Amino acid sequence: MRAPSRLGFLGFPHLALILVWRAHPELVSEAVLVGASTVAGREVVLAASSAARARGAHPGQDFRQAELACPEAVRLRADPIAVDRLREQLLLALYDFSPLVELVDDSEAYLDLGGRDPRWETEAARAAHLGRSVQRILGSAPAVGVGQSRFVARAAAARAGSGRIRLVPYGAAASFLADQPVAGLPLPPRTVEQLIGFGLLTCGDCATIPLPDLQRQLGPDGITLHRLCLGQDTAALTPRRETPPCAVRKVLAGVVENSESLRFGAPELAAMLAAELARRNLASGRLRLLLLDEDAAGGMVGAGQPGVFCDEVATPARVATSQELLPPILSLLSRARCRVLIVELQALDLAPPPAAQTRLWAVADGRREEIGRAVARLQERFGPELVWRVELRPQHPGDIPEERLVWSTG
Amino acid sequence: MKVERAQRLPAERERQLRHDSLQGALAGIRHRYGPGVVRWGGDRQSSGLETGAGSLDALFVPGGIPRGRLSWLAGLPGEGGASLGLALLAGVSRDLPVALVDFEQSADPGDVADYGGRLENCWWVRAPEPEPGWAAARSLVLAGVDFCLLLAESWPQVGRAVPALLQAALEERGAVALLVGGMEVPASVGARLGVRISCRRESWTMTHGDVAGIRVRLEVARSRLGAPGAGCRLEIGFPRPYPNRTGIVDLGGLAADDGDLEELLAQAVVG
Repeated sequence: MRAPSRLGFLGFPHLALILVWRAHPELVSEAVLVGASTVAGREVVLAASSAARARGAHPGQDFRQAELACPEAVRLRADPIAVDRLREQLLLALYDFSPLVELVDDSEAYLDLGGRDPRWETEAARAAHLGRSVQRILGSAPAVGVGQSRFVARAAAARAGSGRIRLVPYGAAASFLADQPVAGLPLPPRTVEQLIGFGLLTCGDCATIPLPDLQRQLGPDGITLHRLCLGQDTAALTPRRETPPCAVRKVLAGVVENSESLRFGAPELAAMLAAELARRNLASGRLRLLLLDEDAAGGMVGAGQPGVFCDEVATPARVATSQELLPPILSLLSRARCRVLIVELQALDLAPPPAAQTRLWAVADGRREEIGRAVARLQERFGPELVWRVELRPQHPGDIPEERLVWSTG
Repeated sequence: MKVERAQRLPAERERQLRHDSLQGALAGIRHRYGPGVVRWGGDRQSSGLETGAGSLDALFVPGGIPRGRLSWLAGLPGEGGASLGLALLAGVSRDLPVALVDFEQSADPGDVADYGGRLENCWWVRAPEPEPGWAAARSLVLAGVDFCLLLAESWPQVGRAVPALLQAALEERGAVALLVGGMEVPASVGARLGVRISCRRESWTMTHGDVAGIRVRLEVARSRLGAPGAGCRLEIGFPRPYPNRTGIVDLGGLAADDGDLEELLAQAVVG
């Protein structure tokens, strides 16, 4: 049985606006218009602060029109490189919570939160960590909503407000949406006007109307309205699969059903990912493994989906080399129990690797003489066979300790 | 996220009052019994020796096996304690001098090399009797060994002074002593223990019919440094027959860490 659909929604100020606020904290409560040039050379509003929006300016508007609507607004140009960098950081944080992320207009994000994440016992804890993680990146607390569909999650976040969480349990969407005004539904304005004309002001009002009646009056919009009011809108996420954080993907020669065989490919996966991390000069604090069978290989990938195995492991310290990557990869592969055609390994929680220092001299060297004197005293007191030093015999023949090791009392 | 300033202020005030009253009590005790009677448990003793397995380090309050204290990894033979101990010893020996006091004379130094340890940093004490073993541990710690592993399947009685002297040496040098094995220790040793961790085997890791490793479950049974109950799971890959799987694999902690998010969670609305 498939797990019930759970989608998360995060609403936050536009990334360009956040960067402006970082550079000019005095503008946080001011009317601000952030502009950008389109491909055609037209200057448009990329982001507008809430004070500017209250005066009639809005994103996507021609910049001159916005200036006329809000003449007292501070006008700034967006820094596209800084916005790209911040977007990448945000996506890295979001990928840490779900492999399926959709970022909309740099001010909203949807995540597939279906299935259970072993790191957190409850959905509320997961959502709270998600909100806190995004807040750490943006410096601004997002509104977090979780529900069974896009619209429910978005409505939940809107009702929660900035810095709060609202969870709508599966099956409770209709009662949650009962008070939702129809003016806020994603429907054509003409349809909304019709509804208001009929006296249907809330989703609760519309939910009482049978579907055939709605369809007869509103056409295809009637079906959409019915689904929205019951929290059954089925619009899928459009994930940003083309830019996984840092990942390697291996298509096997054929379907493998034995997870033990997969483990023998672990060194190669570790080497591939280490090379990718080295190319970006990054180290990873968490690894995620996606195993896809032949049915899932061609479609969208989501945790809990049939034919997809998704699991992840946190590393005790950030890992970057193949030797460091191998143990967590082995532990991930050992949990896999499915048919596999494609193996994808993602490195999450990325940061620059810790600085490595050449081993100029061993810490132990300074104490060797003192330890040697202590050993001599112990051997004098209790006999020479109390404390031993052991060395590996060069080119030792096998695993038998007597053949492999050289014991000495010196 | 949203900070309720009006609710936070009384807590701050209460903390300040507690701090003031504690300082007053400490001043009174020092005035009456001397300045050295109350000492901080911090400094080098409070720091931990990190093992590289994050979940294991998290079991100990300083974060890592506590320095300046005796710790005990309790478990029956075959439960994975000795393998874990040797793997930990190997990890520390890469950078620091270590000693293994082997009361059973059964540990294979080759395993330490296979786990990636440096044998030139290791001193092996093969002690048929308890007294020389404990004395050697103390002497080596005083001489500069940072990590001392004491390995036994059952712990024979020793005098009260023996573990006390080792404890004093550990405190003086900020070193770590880890007892591995057995389900009981003599009362004289138990009185000096900082942490007792129980080690139980969850399963063997099988590869093509061979035992390639062991999965263990560690739980803090008793701790002078914090509350017991925390736990974690580790997989220890044996050096043979598959050497490329050797080492400790962290399978994560047993308790969810919601940390400072309680406030946010309390505000979360469901329904």
